[in-house]
Amino acid sequence: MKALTYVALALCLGTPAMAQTPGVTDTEIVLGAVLPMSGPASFPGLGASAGSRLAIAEYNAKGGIHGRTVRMLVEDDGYVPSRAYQGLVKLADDGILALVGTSGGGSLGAMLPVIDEKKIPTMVSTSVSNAAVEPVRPYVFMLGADYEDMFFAQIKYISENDKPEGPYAVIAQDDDYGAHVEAGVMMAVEKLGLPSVPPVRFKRGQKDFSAEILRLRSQGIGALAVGGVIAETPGVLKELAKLRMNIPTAHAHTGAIDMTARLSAPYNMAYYAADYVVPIASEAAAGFRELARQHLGEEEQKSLNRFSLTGYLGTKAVLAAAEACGRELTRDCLNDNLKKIDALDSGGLSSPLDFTNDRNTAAREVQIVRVNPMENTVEPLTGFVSYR
Amino acid sequence: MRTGHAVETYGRLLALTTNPITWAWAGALVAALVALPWAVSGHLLVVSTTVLIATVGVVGLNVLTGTTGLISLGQSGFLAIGGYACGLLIRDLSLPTELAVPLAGLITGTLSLLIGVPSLRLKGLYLAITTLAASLIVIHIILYAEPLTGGPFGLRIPDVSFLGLRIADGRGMYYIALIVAVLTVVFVNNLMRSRSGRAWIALRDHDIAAKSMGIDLVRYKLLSFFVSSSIVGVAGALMALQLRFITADVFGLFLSIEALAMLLVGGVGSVAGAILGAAFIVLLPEIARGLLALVGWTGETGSAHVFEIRAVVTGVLIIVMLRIEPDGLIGIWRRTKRYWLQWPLSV
Repeated sequence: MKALTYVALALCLGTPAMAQTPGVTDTEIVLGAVLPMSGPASFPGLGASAGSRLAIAEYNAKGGIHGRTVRMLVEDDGYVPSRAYQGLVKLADDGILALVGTSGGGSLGAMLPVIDEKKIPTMVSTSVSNAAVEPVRPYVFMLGADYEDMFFAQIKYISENDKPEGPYAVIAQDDDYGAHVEAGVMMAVEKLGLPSVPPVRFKRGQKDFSAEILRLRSQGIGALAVGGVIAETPGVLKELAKLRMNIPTAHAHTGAIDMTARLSAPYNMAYYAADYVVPIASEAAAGFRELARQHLGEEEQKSLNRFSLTGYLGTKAVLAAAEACGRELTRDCLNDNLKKIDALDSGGLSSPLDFTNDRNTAAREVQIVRVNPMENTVEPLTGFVSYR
Repeated sequence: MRTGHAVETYGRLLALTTNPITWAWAGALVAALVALPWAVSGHLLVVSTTVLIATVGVVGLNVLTGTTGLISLGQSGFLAIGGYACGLLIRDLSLPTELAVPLAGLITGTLSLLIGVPSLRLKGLYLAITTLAASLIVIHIILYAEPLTGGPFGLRIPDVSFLGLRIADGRGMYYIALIVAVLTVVFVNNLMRSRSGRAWIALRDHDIAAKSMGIDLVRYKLLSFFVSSSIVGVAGALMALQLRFITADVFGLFLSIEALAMLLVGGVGSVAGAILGAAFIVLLPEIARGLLALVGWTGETGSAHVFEIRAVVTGVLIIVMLRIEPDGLIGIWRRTKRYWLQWPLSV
């Protein structure tokens, strides 16, 4: 009887501690995501959400995590930072163990004060942002290579393989992403001793680049890095084709997605892009696509894109860390186990995940691909290479 | 039975209200707003804070557009000036927040005169486009003045206090917004009863007639720009304090459209209408969320349609609102009030 009393007492003392971990009950683990789910720029959010749900479905199909099923709450920010802030506060109210979707750089910036305040374990996997890891926080982890590295890699590749005669140029949009692209190109120009012309910035959302490309042509450029997202790639290629400037061009990972390739097809120009995950249509992602067929609905399968891979890998890392905690799942334990991940198998979708570095960042290795929009193919040119 | 119209002196005609019951209701409303943080969740508290900040901004816009009749699409630019001014005063000059917020308003008001002066000869859509262009210039300057504003990387605001209330604390930020909103509403309501307020209304209704009656158009138009933008600048400062991180993205052009929508939905030219409009538009996504939750669409199913439908429902509610009540929410309020005042003789 005495022993029974002690057991009951221990359970009573233990239960409140467990109940204090937000998003964790005896039967359930709740994750959260704030993503752009509506509007014209919703494709990263829809893709990332589908990827995260796939990782969750994979775990749930195996019986969940130590008997707990996993589910995810999603808040739509429409790429508006103030809405991202509101969305995260809503998720925190609802109770989430960790945040696995963090929208764009501006939205993440607006969410960081709340993340800091509530010490929410966060996996930044949608859009790489220096603000997430500068300073390094014990509860914020990131997936992906810096834009600097992606463009450094491509300029290096172009200088070694295409060997253009004219100077290198960069045209980038006037936001934090564009600034990183510019920095990557300038870093390559400086380190590799390449000739260059002053960077050109354009207003985000700009569609017509005739004036900018005419100016760059007058400077006799030999290669061009394009720091745009989707429509900017065909916009620039259109002008290059019109002026018969058959020069190598470098693009961000969004250059390799299906939508960009289809929009670029009329201009008959192949181009380079770089990414830290494999092209979704590639052989390397066949297993992922099969998994999606098994676990996702038709609508979600249609929304799969490269952000699905990053969402999947980020969520998988969080769930692996949660699994390592056993039944005693707390946020501290989750953070500790995330920090211990040093070679999580990514199934060939990226380099193996390693968060043990001083930036809490995995998959920093970059693969260069050649996009042929006319044939709608994306051909990997290199393996995943570290430029750090 | 109270008629609500018969007054015997000019003093009573200009009074904020002649009815003590109105004061009692206003007091009850403020008391309810003071108690609100203890009754709602963290998310609803953030939404309520946003309503109060939007109220400040729309009451400010109402001075220019509703009262003076000058249409402005430059609110996002003025909000940005206020937000960045407040952030920089706190971060770089370590000014106390109690000083930084009003100073941010004054800086915004002063800079708005640069737009106000060339706008003196413009009206209607021409003025709207001029102010829109001005806000584009403001955003450009913010993006390119990187050493000062952080450019595309944004500006982080430290956790500071305002009258002893911490901005990082949800309740603290709510009370800061509430204090500023109440002061703004009282200030603007009083302003409307002053010579300036009457001059602005005269300008709006017929500027040539107003000029022939001795109203200095240049002075009062510029004054309207200054007062309106100063208040909008204060709203921008509150936005910066609430988010504690601002970039040019926070002050997108859509904010200007949204501010005008708040004014139209609430009722142009009325302070109470501006408050109702701000509350309605900010709460709409939550209303849409609630409506869809009733039919089991919560966004947990993985279907992206729920988010698009939520956005469409929000838009449809605005259209329905303007279709059934062109005078805005204040029109509904006035009719309802009249009905009860005249009951049982109301028709």
